Amino acid sequence: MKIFIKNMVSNRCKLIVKSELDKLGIEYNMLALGEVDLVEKPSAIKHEELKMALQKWDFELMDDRKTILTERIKSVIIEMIHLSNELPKTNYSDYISKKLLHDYTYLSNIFSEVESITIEHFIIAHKIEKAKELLLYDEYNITEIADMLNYSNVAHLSNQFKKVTGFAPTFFKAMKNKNRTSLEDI
Amino acid sequence: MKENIKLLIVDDDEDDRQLFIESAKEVDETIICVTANDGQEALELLKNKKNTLPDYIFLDLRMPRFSGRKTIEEIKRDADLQHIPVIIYTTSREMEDSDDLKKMGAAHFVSKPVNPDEIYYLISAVIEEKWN
Repeated sequence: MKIFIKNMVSNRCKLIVKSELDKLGIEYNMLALGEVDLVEKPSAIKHEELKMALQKWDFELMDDRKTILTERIKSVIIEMIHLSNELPKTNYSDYISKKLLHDYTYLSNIFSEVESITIEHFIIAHKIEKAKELLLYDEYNITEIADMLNYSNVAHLSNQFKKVTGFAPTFFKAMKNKNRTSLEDI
Repeated sequence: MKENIKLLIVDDDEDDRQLFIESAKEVDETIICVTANDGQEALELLKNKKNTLPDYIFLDLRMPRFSGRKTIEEIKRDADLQHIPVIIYTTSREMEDSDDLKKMGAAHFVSKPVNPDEIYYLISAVIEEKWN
């Protein structure tokens, strides 16, 4: 059976969940961001133990249908922006819709209802977080970063960066390491 | 050099039209916004050969007289206009119609953005992701 876990946003989160499952002796077939496929349905006691163990790390076992779907949308976006080497060539709405096998409009509606922001807003917040990371690595210039993040030009990235962070990218870079936000807090 | 991006905003609510214009300018101050009060006015603008065609059309579904549904039907029937991506936004109550409207050629269908920030993000996403 599949269980869904809220706030899993990185490979590190996967390792933590994996170790908690191992400690409790719960077997699984597959473990991905936000979801784990268990070999069998855990007993009520085991389920409660897992819930408590995950809570220690600020993870949450979910049971509401809309919340589960919203978390799955977030996981797809986080994976797409932060954990893969390049952004998909198709547009994001098709990408998300294909990954989750639901119509984008349906997903977009549920997401806005649960999160009070739109999917577009969430994607941009994460793209800007990725831009911050790339700026701080100092390996790429802003033109290259705009290109890597699929912006049609530098001005669009700069405007958006300023809208989200309040700073121009160059100013942000000058400030160095002070303004990174952890993915969990976006 | 690439010409400026041009948007056509079709909405009967004056405040919403204004919010769209302001948000678009925030995304990129070179964006040109043209507005229409309803579908009929939009089609007149689109069919007037003197006007350059917009790159994207943002269409409110719920409008008196000439509805968004009727407008997209007309746009997609016209060989000169059918290539323009139409982004339909509406209140969530009409969401169940989305499949239907996608079949009619809507490029993107979203619940009506509730505040200027969300309008900003919608326009940004559409322009950047070439949502068509």
